[in-house]
Amino acid sequence: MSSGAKIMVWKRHISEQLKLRDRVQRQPFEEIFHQYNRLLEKSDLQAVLSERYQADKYEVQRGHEASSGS
Amino acid sequence: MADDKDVLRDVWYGRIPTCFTLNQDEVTEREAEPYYLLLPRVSYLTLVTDKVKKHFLKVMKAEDVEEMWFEYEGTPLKWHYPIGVLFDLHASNTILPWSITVHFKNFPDRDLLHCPSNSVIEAHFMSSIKEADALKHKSQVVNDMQKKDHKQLWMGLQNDKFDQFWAMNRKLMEYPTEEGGFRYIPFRIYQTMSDRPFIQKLFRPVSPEGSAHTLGDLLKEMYPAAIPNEGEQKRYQVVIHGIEPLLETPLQWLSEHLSHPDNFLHICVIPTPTD
Repeated sequence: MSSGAKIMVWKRHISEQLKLRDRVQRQPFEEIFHQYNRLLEKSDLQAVLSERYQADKYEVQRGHEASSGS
Repeated sequence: MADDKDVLRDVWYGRIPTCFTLNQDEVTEREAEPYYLLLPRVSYLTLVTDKVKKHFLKVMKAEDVEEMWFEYEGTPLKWHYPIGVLFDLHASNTILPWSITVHFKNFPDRDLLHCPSNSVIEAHFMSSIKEADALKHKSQVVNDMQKKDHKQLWMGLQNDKFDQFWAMNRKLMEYPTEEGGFRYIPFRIYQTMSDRPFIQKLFRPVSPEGSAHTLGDLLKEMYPAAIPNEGEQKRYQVVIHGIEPLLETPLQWLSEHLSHPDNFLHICVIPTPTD
């Protein structure tokens, strides 16, 4: 008797349903969520950098005004 | 047996694709992008959403932020139910990803427990394990464990470490061979349309005549409407971990393999979709 034949119907049903569940609920989303979160990180970084850039520009301008005023 | 361990793994690593969006009424300094996450079915919402919180706090003023809570289509989500139970109960026939709304104000005190820290989740988790062991072994196994063993169960769940958790949890799943199962099966049956949070009574895995009880036997006793009569259309789906086991599945095996890490079998009875 093969070992496969010994597995009960109810048990095989559960194994198959769990695999099917993961094929529907998990696998299609793994890669796209990963990519989206990478984009999100990049856009957050960009927001931080552009804020810093604006602040630097302001500092430089103020520096100019201060030196030309004296 | 190898395939039984595969079932344990598939249950442990079950994930639900989820889209978090900020509640429209929250005051923000700039627009908040949605946040996408694969949520572990066996964990708790407040335990796995640190990144969600961090993401939305970036656009908010500190003074507008109170305790974070979650809602799905008007229903506040109870963090003390496992994530998989919340999804199966409220959203199993929704279009994926699951769309959850994030709130930072107007905490619904009447519907939700507060969750100020992870130690509150840990206390809730451990009390479930103790309650389950009281039913299975009159508390003998959990009382024989040391404090560090309890910690290992919690850390296994918190850090998503299957091997660490099961190295300890298998002791909670043992029983004397001659008895054919636990003393009582720790289970909870949830239904959407009910004032009762869930059904929980004493139920043995083996009948007085010595035959193994099945999922069908449990439902016949606890929730007969969930079983369709001869020739009748199925009115309810009986869902555990997002699947519908056959009614002839032995209850003892289900308790050992399809329980949540809190050692309870969480069973959702939901109306069959009509479309």
